Amino acid sequence: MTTKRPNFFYHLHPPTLPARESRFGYTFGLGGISLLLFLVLGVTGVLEMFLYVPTPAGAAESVRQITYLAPFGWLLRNMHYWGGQMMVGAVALHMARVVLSGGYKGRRFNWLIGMALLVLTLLLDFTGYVLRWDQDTAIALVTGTNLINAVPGIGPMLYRLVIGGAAVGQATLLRFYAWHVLGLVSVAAVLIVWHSFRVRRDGGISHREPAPGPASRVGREQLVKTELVAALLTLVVLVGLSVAVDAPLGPAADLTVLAAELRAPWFFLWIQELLRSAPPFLAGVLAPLAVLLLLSVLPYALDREQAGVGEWFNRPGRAAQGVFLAVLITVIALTARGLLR
Amino acid sequence: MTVFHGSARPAVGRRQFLTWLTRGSLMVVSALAVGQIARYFAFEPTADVPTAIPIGPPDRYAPATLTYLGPARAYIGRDSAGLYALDAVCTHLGCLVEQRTDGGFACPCHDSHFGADGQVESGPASKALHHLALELDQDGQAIVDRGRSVAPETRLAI
Ligand code: HEM
Ligand code: FES
Repeated sequence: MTTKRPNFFYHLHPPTLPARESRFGYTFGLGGISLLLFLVLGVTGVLEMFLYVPTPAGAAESVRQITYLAPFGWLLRNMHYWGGQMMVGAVALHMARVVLSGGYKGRRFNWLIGMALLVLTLLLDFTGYVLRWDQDTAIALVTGTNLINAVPGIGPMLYRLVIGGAAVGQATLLRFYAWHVLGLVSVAAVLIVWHSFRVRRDGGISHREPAPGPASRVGREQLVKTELVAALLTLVVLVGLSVAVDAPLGPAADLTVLAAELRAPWFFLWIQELLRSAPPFLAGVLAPLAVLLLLSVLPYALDREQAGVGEWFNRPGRAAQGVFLAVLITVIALTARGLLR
Repeated sequence: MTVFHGSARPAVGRRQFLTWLTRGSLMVVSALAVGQIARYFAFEPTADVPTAIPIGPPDRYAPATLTYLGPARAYIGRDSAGLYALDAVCTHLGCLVEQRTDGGFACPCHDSHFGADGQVESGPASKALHHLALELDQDGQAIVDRGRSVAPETRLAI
């Protein structure tokens, strides 16, 4: 036992934890990595706000200034960009871990908070992408928001609410900016705190019970050390990517210019592929909602068993795991098809 | 006012009633607030962009040509009957269609194809490209009205 007073990070955990489930090889630290990326995005994002100009005429130019003129602005912007992409990946992998190791068992409500966080992460990534306001992102904005128009009945009204007018323009950029830097971020922050609180409330990280053999436990110092290593590795990858590969930036958006090849951002490529072959409302609205609904009800409809918690590919959870993997593989296959076009 | 005597107790106690009152008013106030926030969001600070766009004198467009005009986001064509304006905005999700070498149009977003007259050749788009209204102003300038579509055979005689 250490005699030092436990610092803040220790207080996030119970004094002792089950040994097996505290190992990096069980959670891969994915929830914590998502949280870390969110914090990094907050810091780099706020710094970007000091130079970013949310107007159609000024946006792309100000991003150019951040990238090429402001000292270390390129690093800041690249870290924000890659942080966003990595966060989408980390959140998705975190979900996969939870499904495949039965982590949702007995914690169905926290699974729903997790679903909301997945949606918020995607919305944050999309609204951020739009802020760049170059040719690619403007087209993604036009087609993405036109999907709202395809909703029968309330579509056109919702569309104007999102867009802030009859057509994409100044009001749209300002709205997306406000959602990105504050609206969505605050909701996400509240849910992240709630999500973490629920984990502790539900008895810490999910674990096997009864654990085979004498239940071995470790002190929380051990977990904090593992987390520190995971955090450092994540930062190394993030900074490495940011130094090696620049975030894209095309010519300022001009909604009157014909463009040759247009692609949705990578995390929505699967929807773009669906849109090629099915009506907009079905492919662009119902299909994504159906995927979200299906994932949300996994612990309610497909696996209500407590048995198998903490066990990779546990038997009672096979149906839930199967559905999850089927959805994941379909999304990955459609994304790959979009990338290879 | 009802007065209860002795051991006669109301079906709903005072505490219960106050709890309901509190919850009820909180709900009503929240519903009102959400409604007002929705109205706030519906406010549109910038005026709608004008739908009528001047495109110069009609004889500027040579016979048997098709020209893309950025400000109008439309293809201006001229045939033997006169001038027409074909909306370049794809009826699927709003990308701008490009002219193919054979005179038809292709959309770069989800690969819809349209004939030279704007009719759908292959999806996912299900509606033909719009033909936009064309008129002359007092100075003889042609004006495209993006807010009004017309029948495909409509022409502005030159
Ligand atoms: C937490 C507070 C955040 C703030 C204050 C913030 C602020 C900003 C600002 C000002 C920009 C415009 C500059 C630019 O385009 O580089 C931006 C862009 C962007 N943001 Fe954020 N952001 C935050 C969180 C996030 C999160 C959580 C994500 C993703 C999950 C994200 C993803 C993006 C992306 C992808 C871009 C476009 C980057 C680019 O193309 O350069 N942001 N953000
Ligand atoms: S926007 Fe033209 S095909 Fe989808």
